[in-house]
Amino acid sequence: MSCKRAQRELLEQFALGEELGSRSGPHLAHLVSCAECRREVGIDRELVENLRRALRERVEGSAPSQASWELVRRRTIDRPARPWTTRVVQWGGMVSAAAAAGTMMFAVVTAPESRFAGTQSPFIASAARRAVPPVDEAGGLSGADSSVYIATQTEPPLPGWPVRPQFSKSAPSRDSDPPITGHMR
Amino acid sequence: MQVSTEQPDGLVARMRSGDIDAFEEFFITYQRPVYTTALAITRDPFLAEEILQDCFVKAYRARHRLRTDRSPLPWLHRVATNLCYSRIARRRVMIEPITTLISNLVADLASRPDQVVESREIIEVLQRAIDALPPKQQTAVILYYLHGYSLAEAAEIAGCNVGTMKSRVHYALKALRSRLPEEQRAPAGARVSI
Repeated sequence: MSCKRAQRELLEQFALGEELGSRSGPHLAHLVSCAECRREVGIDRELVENLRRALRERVEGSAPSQASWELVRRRTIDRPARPWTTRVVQWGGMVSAAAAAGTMMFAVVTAPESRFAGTQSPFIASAARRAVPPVDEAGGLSGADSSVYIATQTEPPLPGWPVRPQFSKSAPSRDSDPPITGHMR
Repeated sequence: MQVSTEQPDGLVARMRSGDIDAFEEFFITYQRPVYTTALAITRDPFLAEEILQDCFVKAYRARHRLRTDRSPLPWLHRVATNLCYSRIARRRVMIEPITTLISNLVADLASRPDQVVESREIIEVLQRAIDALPPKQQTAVILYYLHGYSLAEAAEIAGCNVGTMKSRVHYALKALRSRLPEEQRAPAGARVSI
């Protein structure tokens, strides 16, 4: 029998309380002849005894206080049951809050100037298109309400409000500087 | 694979039917093992007391789901261990330096071989080593060596199979042994009597 096997199985016997029974003969024979295994098994047995002592020391002399039951009782039996109306109100409040949050999210995502516009679902994209009327070829606005739209666009910003920078994706005019190319070479 | 502890006198059934005395009896019957588990894990009597109370409040709220045909003790142990580790996790900042303490202590003891035979010191090292065990191994050691449950009973409480429990105990012992300095691993006269 190898030392490894003997130590493993004897550890199970001493540490895990498993009886080897009739199989213990070869183990004992090995222990008689092997001083190293005797030492190892002795260490394991000592360790288990010390472990039991250490665990007992943790809890010795301690008991739950007499007040424990009173405190548990107050939190369970003596606690009045909540009427169903309270629960309905509580759940109703949570549902309302969730609905409000959802509505706000929807409003932000579908706003005409949102960066999400045009990149989301077709419904959101079409909503964004409706909010900003298309510009016709002549530079004016199409539709009957163009005057109204121009009026709102030309209004100066309110005092104290930041002016949003206007970005344009149109091609650069001929008067502007040509793009710098090849400067990395 | 069932914990052998029987449920006294249809206690859970009486609790379900609204018998207040039954809940008190339930508390008195099971408070000690639950408190012991909590105290062994946390080593803090006040925290153990809180966990004990939380555990029984949960039991009261879940009384309609408790089984009437077997002991509620495994369920209570499981709730208690879960509560312990969730509380300890909140105190992680305080718990972690223990590992450093252990290394320092072990190194210190190893440097003084003439003084390490003191049993007291071995127990102290072991206490800290138990604290440093992973939660599952710690629970396994407490259920098996402190409460004296069989491997099958401990496995049922921990919600794993017997082989897993056996391996947890085995690895816990290996870890504890590795924490002991070399001189303390071989106590004088440690011989197997055959």
